Amino acid sequence: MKKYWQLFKNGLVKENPLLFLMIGLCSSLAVTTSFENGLGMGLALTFVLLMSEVLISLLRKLIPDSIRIPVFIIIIATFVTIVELLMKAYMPDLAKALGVFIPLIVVNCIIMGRVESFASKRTVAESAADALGMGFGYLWVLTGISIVRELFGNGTFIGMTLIPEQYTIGFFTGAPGGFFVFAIFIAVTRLIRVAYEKNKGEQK
Amino acid sequence: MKQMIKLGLILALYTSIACVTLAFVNDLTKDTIASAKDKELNEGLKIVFAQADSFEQLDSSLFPSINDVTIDAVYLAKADEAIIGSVIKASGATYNDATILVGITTESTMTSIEFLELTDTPGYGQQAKEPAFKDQFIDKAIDETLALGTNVDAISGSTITSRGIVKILNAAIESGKKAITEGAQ
Repeated sequence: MKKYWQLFKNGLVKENPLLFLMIGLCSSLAVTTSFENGLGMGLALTFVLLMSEVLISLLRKLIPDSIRIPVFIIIIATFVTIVELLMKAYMPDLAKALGVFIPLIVVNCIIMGRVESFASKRTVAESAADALGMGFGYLWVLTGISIVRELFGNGTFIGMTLIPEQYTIGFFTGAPGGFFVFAIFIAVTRLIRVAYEKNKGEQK
Repeated sequence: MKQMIKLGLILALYTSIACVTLAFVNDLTKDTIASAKDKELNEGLKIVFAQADSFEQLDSSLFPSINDVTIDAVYLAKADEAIIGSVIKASGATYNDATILVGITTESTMTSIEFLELTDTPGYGQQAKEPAFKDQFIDKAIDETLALGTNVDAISGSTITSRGIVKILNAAIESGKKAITEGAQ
């Protein structure tokens, strides 16, 4: 059990795909303009990642090594299309807001990376723990960035206006604002990690 | 050679399974997706032409694209069976893409415009959806062609979006007027 918790925690913080591995960044910068978008994108990616890792781990002995990448893409693309269709049917507003970034999950580096380096070599349970860790790791950073950008850029949070319109800063809703907030997230988490490790070192 | 055929067959097998799964999901969701789209369009029609009580769709193949703006659909707006105007669904390039519903009355004015789709930059091009820009078209006279700077105010910082929208609107107005004259016959 402890092994699975370690794997989960690994994706959540220690090897967070966005903050430490630095993969899957383009979608995270583009969709994080509002809290709902960030949450929706994070959940969609977590679902695809979990299903793909579990299925690929299950089939890993049946996938010939020389054609593994095409097979991975077929499996990932299938789950992405399922998510896209369900979203269009039951959450049309969210589907519209996320637009092209849902189909683009197919080529998201987090999924390709984890499937290739982890799921194709490990057991189903380990892959599921890894997928959940990586998925939620992506999710929390995404929602964090979107909350900051929505608050400063639009002055709103889940429909409530917290900052009057005159004081909002349009910069945060644009792409440069995305880079800026993202960089601050990286800086702060690294700072915390360095402090934490130093602390741990002194105790020894 | 043998290896190649074997790999090809395995890949074909995976692809077929994926296809069947997707066909199944598509079948489950396609009605809901279509009705969501219909609902959105009907709501849009009511918003741009509130006075009308029914809409009659015309054959859009009679309305060719103008200046790279596609005329997706043309409706005659009716109140008590009399034609009081037309609604045009037109799409074209702005900074990215936009699909706009435009209402035109028989008195040569616009009722209002409504964006069905606008994929321009948030914070810049997306401002077109806000009342500050959109509401200038309410009840606007359309005897003259719309042009930025003369009878249309552009969004500052989003000139390309404004220009694209004006182009779409002009094409829609032209088609809308044509629809009204043809509908009257």
